[in-house]
Amino acid sequence: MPIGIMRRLVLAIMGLMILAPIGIMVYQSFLDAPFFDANAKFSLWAYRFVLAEPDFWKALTTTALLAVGMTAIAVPLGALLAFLITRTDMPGRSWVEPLLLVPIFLSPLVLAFGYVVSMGPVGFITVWWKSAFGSEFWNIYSFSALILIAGLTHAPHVYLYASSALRALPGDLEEAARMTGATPRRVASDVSIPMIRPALAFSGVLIFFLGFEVFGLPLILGDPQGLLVLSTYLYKLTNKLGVPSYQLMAVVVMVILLIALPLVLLQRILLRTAQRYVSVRGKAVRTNLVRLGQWRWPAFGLIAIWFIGTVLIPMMGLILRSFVSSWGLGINLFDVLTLDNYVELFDDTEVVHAIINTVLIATVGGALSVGCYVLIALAQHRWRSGWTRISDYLVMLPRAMPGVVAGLAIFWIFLFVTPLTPLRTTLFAVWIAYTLVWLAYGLRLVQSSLLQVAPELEEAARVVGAKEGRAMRDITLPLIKNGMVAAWMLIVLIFVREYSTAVYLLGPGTEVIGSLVVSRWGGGAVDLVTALSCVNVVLITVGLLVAIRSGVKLHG
Amino acid sequence: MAELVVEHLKIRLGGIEILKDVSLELNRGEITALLGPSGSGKTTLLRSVAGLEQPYDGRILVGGKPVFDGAKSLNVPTEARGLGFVFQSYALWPNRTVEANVAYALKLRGVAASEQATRVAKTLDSLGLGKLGHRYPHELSGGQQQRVAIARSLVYQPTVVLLDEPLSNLDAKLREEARAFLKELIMRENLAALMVTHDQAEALAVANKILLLNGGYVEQAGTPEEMYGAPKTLFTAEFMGSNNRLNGTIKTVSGQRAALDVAGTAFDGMARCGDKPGGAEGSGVIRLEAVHLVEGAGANRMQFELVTSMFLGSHWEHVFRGHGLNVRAHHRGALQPGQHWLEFPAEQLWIF
Ligand SMILES: Nc1ncnc2c1ncn2[C@@H]1O[C@H](COP(=O)(O)OP(=O)(O)O)[C@@H](O)[C@H]1O
Ligand SMILES: [Mg+2]
Repeated sequence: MPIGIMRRLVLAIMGLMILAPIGIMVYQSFLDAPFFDANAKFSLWAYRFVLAEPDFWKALTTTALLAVGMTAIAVPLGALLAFLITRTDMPGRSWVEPLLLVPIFLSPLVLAFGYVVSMGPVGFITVWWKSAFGSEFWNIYSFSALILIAGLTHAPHVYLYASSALRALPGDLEEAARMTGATPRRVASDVSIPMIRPALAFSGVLIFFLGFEVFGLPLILGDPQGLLVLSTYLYKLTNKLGVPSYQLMAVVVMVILLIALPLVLLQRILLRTAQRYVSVRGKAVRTNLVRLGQWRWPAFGLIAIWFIGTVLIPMMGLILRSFVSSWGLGINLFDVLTLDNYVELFDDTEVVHAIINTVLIATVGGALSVGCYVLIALAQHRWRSGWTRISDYLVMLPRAMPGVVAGLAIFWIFLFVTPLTPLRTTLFAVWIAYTLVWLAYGLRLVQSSLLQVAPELEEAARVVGAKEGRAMRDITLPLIKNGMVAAWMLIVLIFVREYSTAVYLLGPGTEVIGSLVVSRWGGGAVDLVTALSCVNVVLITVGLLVAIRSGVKLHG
Repeated sequence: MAELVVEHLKIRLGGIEILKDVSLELNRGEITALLGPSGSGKTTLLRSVAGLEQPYDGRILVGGKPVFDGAKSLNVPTEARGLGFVFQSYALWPNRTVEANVAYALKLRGVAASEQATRVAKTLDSLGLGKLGHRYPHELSGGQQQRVAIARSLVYQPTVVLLDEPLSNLDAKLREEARAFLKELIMRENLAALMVTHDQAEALAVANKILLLNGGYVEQAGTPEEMYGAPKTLFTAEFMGSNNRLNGTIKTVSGQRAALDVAGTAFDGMARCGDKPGGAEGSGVIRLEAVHLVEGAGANRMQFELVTSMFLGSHWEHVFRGHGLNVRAHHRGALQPGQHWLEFPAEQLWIF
């Protein structure tokens, strides 16, 4: 088949896969009943209903406050961590860095469970605190706790961008400032900080945007007190009127998309600016570290406290809880230690399926997804045409869809397109949703390895007689093999962790760990959820170790 | 008919007119050097011939057959043009051995495996790479990589080879050896070669013909001797060698000759100024080696003060100042400080 047709075909299929779920959302939002209802008519009723709903406005304000609050915590904290690790002589910098990235790879859902079993009303720490000092001063289910936890767990995202910007800062720039007589503090405020401002601006918008996407933390921590954000409000809407209220859900989705899309666009613009700064400066050179003097250990202490609060407390609680039969005030830990929770996991066929499915979808499904991303990236590769430009923008659409929304949209597509309906209860549906949600991310991974291929290498093949498609197959593909494997490993990690995308698709045959723990937590099965979460963490850890051993760069 | 013909080629890149009207002819057994300042479009011309860039007007014929014709919207794809191309970066495929790099073109042409092996071996042998077939590109020196790139472009026996600054990635010593080798190879294989360079000395040494590009047009084309010894324009004169420039006013132009007034002294020279009227501003240009040290005054002579001297191995370069001019001259020996007379022979002084 001629290469031009192949390119168009691949991009057209991609466009369909992106536009169909969004199209069905738009369509449904303008109906006055679910789309499968024969009496459904076009109307603005659903918009009017939702916009008149006080709960909706409350959820919207809560979401906005959460997004602002977590940005205000994560950006300064992430920038500070980055500065301490990359520019100072703080002790233990080299081994602290990988630990900083841990929260990125853990599921926020799992962290939320961990916080509940550690610091909830009858959590381990709460109980011990009570027996030692009397009643505790925190409430894990409060809005401020939610904001604080969201901020702390998102700081590593900021760290990633800030640290790579700081690393690219040439030391001679700062030294030149020192030579002209600037004090170290002036150097930081006049030279270093302005240079990484684009990276900070980008990560600020990124965190704010993620604030509109978070699902696991507010679902677990906010829900018990009736604290809803848009994504959990959407989740709770499922049965608002007693019958499935699809039209209302669609309207909420439209609101989320309308907020998220501009933020995605803004991120794209800011990322370009940030990268321009990096590329202009080129290779990093030897840099003189800022001497902290007496502040060395306090700085280390700050990072230690952050790590304990963000990773150790929830993870330790989670692990401990998975090894006890019950827990509460006045219980002696050594009386309740048990392995039963894990044994019971394997008696529960749904759980066994979920584990197998998770591994399958992450490894095999992940490989297929990377295959799709490679096809799309190759279709756009060195093709100056309207198709490439439009598809570039199309890719941003699923990026603006939080996982829950994408899962819901895929669920509806499988209902709406009746020939597809039998596939809804298979892993295929979950795989499609995952592939769609992570399209922008995966595509960027593949594109960045394609960028490493010098155009002359392909042109050389053309000159000696290879057609365009042949040159891609024989020259380009083998050259990005390592990049594809690295992309696969990162996608595996992400798919193992993923939960929100699968919640609407949960059913017999489509269980994955993430969606199953959400549903079982709702049923109060703390023993099983903590054990299964630990299994999830073990899977992620194994994947992470394999990736690190293979030399995969964990941040693209 | 010439093996490669380019007629009135015009190309635009990113909205900018890069080549405005370029024509050239290239015969077998001939090396044409494409010379020009950086950014003058040399690479662009080469890539257009190879079909890697698309011109919007003009014609390109290879072996008498048109491969590009702007008027007829004909544009034969790169792979069907059958040209050899040596990239400036060599563009060797890093994941393939030397043999596999060279054999790829034959594989594409459906040549049987056994014949592939013999032809690859023969090509590698002829380039002195016989024992290196199993190595990967990164295990080779710069000079060896360059030869592999050449081998890869010759193995399918194209008649036209395009070389984009093939010597620029080699260090100075290796470069001189490589250019002799390249010239000999192209003659022996009876190829028509178009070779880009930005180094005029290299062009003079290697080429049978030089094409000087400037501002999207061919500034001047000719044999190395013509380009060096009889430049038609100021640009060519300045580009092709190291010169002195004497700025003054044109007094008279009569036939081949012109007279230039420089700081009150009259100089006779070769007229290159077209029909400039008397009294117009003019420049005299003369190669450093054409300026002679002489004893005493005379026609086309002027007295200067020696400023500094540099020993260049085979000769000296002296720098003089006087009459508001800086003049450099090559001379066999050292000089005493002080005033010296310099002669600017009329046959070698071009007046623009
Ligand atoms: N793809 C392109 N888009 C826009 N301008 C280009 C492109 N490629 C080259 N140019 C411009 O064309 C001019 C000629 O480039 P090139 O042919 O590489 O010059 P040379 O090889 O003579 O140094 C340069 O000014 C360059 O910036
Ligand atoms: Mg060039």
